[in-house]
Amino acid sequence: MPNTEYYNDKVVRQFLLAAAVWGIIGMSVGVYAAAELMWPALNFEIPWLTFSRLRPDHTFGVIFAFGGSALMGTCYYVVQRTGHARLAFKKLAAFTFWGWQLVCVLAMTTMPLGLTQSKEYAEPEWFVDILIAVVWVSFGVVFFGSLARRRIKHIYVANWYYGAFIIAVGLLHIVNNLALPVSWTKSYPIYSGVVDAMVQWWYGHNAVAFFLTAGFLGMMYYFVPRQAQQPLWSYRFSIVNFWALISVYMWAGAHHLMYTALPDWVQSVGMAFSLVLLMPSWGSAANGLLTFNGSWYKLKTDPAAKFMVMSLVFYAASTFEGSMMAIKTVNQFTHYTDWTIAHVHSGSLGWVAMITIGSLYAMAPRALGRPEMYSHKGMEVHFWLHMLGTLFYVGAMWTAGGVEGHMWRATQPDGALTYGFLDSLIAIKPMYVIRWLGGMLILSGMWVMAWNLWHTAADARARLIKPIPVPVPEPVPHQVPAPLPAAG
Amino acid sequence: MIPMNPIWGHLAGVLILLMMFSFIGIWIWAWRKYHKPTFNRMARLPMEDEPAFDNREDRP
Amino acid sequence: MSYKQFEAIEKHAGLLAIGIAIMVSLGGLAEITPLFVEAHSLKAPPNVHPYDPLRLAGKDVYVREGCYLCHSQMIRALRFETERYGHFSTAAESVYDRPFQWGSKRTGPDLARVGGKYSDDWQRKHLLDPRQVVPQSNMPAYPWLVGKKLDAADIQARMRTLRKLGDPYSDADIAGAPAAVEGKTEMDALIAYLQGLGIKNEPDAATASAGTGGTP
Repeated sequence: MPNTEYYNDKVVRQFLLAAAVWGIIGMSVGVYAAAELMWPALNFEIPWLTFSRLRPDHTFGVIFAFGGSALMGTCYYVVQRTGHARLAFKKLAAFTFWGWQLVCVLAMTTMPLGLTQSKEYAEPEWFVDILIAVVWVSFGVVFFGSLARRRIKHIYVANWYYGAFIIAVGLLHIVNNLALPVSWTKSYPIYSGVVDAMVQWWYGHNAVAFFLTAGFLGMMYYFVPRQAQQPLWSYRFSIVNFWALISVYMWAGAHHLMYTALPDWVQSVGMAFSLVLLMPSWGSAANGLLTFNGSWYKLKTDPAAKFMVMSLVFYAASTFEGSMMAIKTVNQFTHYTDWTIAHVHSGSLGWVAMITIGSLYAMAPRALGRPEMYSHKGMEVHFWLHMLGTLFYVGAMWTAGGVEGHMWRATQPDGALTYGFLDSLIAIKPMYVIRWLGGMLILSGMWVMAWNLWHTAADARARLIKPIPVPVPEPVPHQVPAPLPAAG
Repeated sequence: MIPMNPIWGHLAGVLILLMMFSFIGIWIWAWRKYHKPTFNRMARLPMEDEPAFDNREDRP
Repeated sequence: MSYKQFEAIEKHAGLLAIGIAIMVSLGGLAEITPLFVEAHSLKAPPNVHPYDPLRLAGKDVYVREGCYLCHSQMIRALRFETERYGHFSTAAESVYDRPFQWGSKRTGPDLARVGGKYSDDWQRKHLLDPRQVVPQSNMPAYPWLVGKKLDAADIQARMRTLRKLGDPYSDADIAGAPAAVEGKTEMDALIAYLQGLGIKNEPDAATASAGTGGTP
């Protein structure tokens, strides 16, 4: 049977390259910011090199530039493979790539210059926000357009997660960024005080839920079975988990505002739902891990599988930690301390970065037309650098958080506070050095990955790649869409 | 502090009940025998991305 | 429960999208709508006023520099917090904060009631070089604030925008802005803002006993 349709892997390769580059940039900024916390003179009294201006750059760089590029690239790959159809709207797909890169460059250059809304994880000013919304809607159109022309009757579960990620992030982004501009460079949010706080953490928490969880679960539900070469452990369980996860997550944002001026009932609802949330989170982690049943031997030989298994372990661990930290009495201790930093990084370095790296190592050879990655050893080295770095980082921040939590609340028998604030900072300074070292290890791992991808992409760079044909099945009566003409 | 109308508590309660019922409904739906063949087929879908390593134009 | 209907969701991308949109909206609907509607009844206490021009400029410097990344402005209703920082923060105190500055991490101490704790001179020295006054501090130095003069027209534009959003600035307030910021630098503005934080609005005993709770 002659093939008439090819997968659009060009945009996938572009996003793959972008993810590697942004990963290095975003993490370099993070490492520098971490060094500044230890050696504050490192800002050299230059405004844009100062910690408070760089931190949004780090978070935007790793979440939206690195994570976003990886998510969009794998999303385009997965929706084609699980639908047995080419990506819809070729030009619009190309626009989403260039548009997203423009968003990232604009955001990453304007924020250190002081153009910021100062809403955590939504710092870019209004003109960047509008561009983000335009690109995001286009991304949704390409994705749902591609789903509409699939040849597999049922929509594979990974696509459900990608779909939820696109819809929810679009909704969150627009609602949270509603602002009235003063000028090109300054705007005021339409919300103020307690309402702004609630909207912001509804956004902040669900950016974690739908950007850093749902999106990457989409990645997991495709690449884990693919890499394990085992069917998904329980497909029906994944359906139940999906609906539970997306409906429960949205209620839990208030756990970022425990004991604040937010009304008590909202705090309690937030805490209750945060505990319920543990169930669908562990459900997905278990589903992924059990998929490896029968393929556990791959852990010895396949670094991509190692990354995936470790990512699921970290996912289970950090979602458990998150639910515990949402309990009011625990939160009392951990909030405002470095424990929060430990928690986000065990989630982001452990879960998000590892599933991304594992999936990139699984996808890159296919998208680049090679039998395997250029260097097996390189992947192995990357795994251990990343793993060690994460343990250093998270361990140091857990310790620091515990010390701060203890010192801030310690009182003498007469009720007076035992320590001044500065005492706690002095006590945790060594931890800041260890954290910085952990960051360095992780960053060097990213360089190894970039080197490895560069060599794997030799054919792509030489334009020797032939597109991969879509396995078009025998025509079924009333099939929608009908197999396409040979235009490709 | 913000005075709250009790109506909001009822609204949240109704929404939570709705979520619970749809959750149980989805669970029952997903576990019906009728879906077994489809789900088994879907669970294998990611493994179908067949390798095509010979896709360099300069290879025979 | 109709099984066929749910199966349709699994086979139609559009229905799936609608289903997702509904499910993800419920949480926000239940938690944000009430706050949004009821917050209109939240009036600023008599001693909380919109920021005067100089403090407004200072607040915007605070926002621009990203101070909220290391300093919270939210004293929780916990004994060890009120012991260290003063009376716990209430919702009414931040009605004029766009965006809110409650923060999420304390690499430095809470600033909700820092106003008046240190002298203007101390604040200036500290912002120019924190280690000159607190040798162990890891706060960055912000010397460039001294060199930047405030732009009165810009501040007036900001006040007009805030008025559109509902902050009660009068025409006289806006007309008086150029005089208020004449010759001032961003450093002066930031110090004025910091010195105003929490200083006049410690809730009195009557409102304090009501707590942070918003239960009906």
